Amino acid sequence: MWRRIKPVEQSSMPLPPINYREFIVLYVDDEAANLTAFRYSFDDEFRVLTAGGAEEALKILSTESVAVLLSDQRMPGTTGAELCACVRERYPDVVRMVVSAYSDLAAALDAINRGQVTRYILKPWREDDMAGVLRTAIEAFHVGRLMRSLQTRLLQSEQQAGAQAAFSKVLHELSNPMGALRTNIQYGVDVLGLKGTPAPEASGLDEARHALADALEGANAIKARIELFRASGAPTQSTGKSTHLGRAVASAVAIVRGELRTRAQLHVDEVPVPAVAIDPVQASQVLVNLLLNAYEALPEGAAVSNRITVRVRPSGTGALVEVEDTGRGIPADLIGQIFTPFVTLKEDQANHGLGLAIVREIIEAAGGSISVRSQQGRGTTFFFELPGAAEPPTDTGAK
Amino acid sequence: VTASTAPILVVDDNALFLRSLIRMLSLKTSVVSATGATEALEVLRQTPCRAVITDLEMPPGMDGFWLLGQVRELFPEVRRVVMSGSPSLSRQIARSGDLVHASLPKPFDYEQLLAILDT
Repeated sequence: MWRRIKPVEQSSMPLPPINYREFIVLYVDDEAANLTAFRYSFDDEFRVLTAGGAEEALKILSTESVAVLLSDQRMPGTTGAELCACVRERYPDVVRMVVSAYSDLAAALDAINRGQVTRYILKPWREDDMAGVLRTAIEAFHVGRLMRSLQTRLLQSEQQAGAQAAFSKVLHELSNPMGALRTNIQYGVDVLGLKGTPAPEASGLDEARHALADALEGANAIKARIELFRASGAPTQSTGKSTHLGRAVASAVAIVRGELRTRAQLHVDEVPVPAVAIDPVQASQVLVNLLLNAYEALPEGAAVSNRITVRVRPSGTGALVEVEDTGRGIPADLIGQIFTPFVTLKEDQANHGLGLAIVREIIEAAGGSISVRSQQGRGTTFFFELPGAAEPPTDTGAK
Repeated sequence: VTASTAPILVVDDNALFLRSLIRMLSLKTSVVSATGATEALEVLRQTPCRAVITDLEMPPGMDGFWLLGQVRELFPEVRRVVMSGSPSLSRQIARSGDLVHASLPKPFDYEQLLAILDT
């Protein structure tokens, strides 16, 4: 007695023609005869792989890009539903189906209800019905994959838009000092008479001096911008050098102390740690960025109660560094993105949202990792871990 | 009311840019200035001007577009010119219709500005 498999609903969305042979169908059954029969029936239309049990199936899934998993429900030591649950965890894109005898129907339905299995098929099935089901499953897999690639492309275009916005911001920042520079040079040229008739009156000369000073101010502002960008674009690859973190902390603190002092109490809490595998300049760059980040998160006018704490502790072969602030914290919906380039929480015009992205790049290039924990209104802590150096730092006086 | 001898009002919240522009324009015409939209309207009330040249990127709610809207309503005879350093604003300028008589991308040539003012 052959049962009809419930006909599949016709999809209303027109699909480009699919070559079903490009997709892998994995059939799992503990009865070898069934596997042979399945292969024999469907090998022409699909790429069929078979497995005699769950373990073998998972092994195939780990190396092959399987589109559809079709598993017998009753197998020794496990069930098809269990296998599907496991596959859903590890390979969520795979379309999962269970073949079940009528007596196992309850278990199969339960698996569907729990979302582990997309569909069950009652035994015994007819070959043409099964072929239809497999085609639909492959179409579902194909459409799913298409959607994900569209999503990826959408994300990329969003990132491009972000980069464009940052670029536009940079242009804007350069336009004022550049405008001032040119205007003042033009003024000097006109007034001092390098062009046309010389007319250096006393008052004109005086104003020309001011123009010169303003031209210099404009040029300096442009230079500062360029330096900031040079620092942003500085190579973040590992240089193979190593660093004493105590020194890196001291040098970073020396750079930003003046700024920090106006807004917070800074505490450095360090114990001796092994030399770590990071370039000393890059280590300072990381710490300066994190310290300034902490500084910017703190409210103004509370320099006594605001605190920034730097902790250095040994960890594994290397060290763990924490930079903690008592500032406003990071909103939960943004915390996942703070290491993404051009994502910034700051209104400040001078901020490009590149600092933390660069920090992460440097840390990861050095073989380390960085994470963040934040509570809104309470503060934020950045943690970064660096592996120990193979060789101690060679710079003078390193001890 | 606004003779060609009336001053030009320059509005920009960037101090360096503003004083540089004033210095330059002072060689050719009389100039008054403001560092924000409300101050600009105050100046216009006191001093009849023949044109206003304003930066667009100023504090939200009182940016260059807002200022020009006010100027169009209160001092319709004053010529309205914008300057902007953001490429993204050029589309907004294009859509602003008769609000803006002329626009200048920053940084601009001084001759460009004079040409626009003399039109």
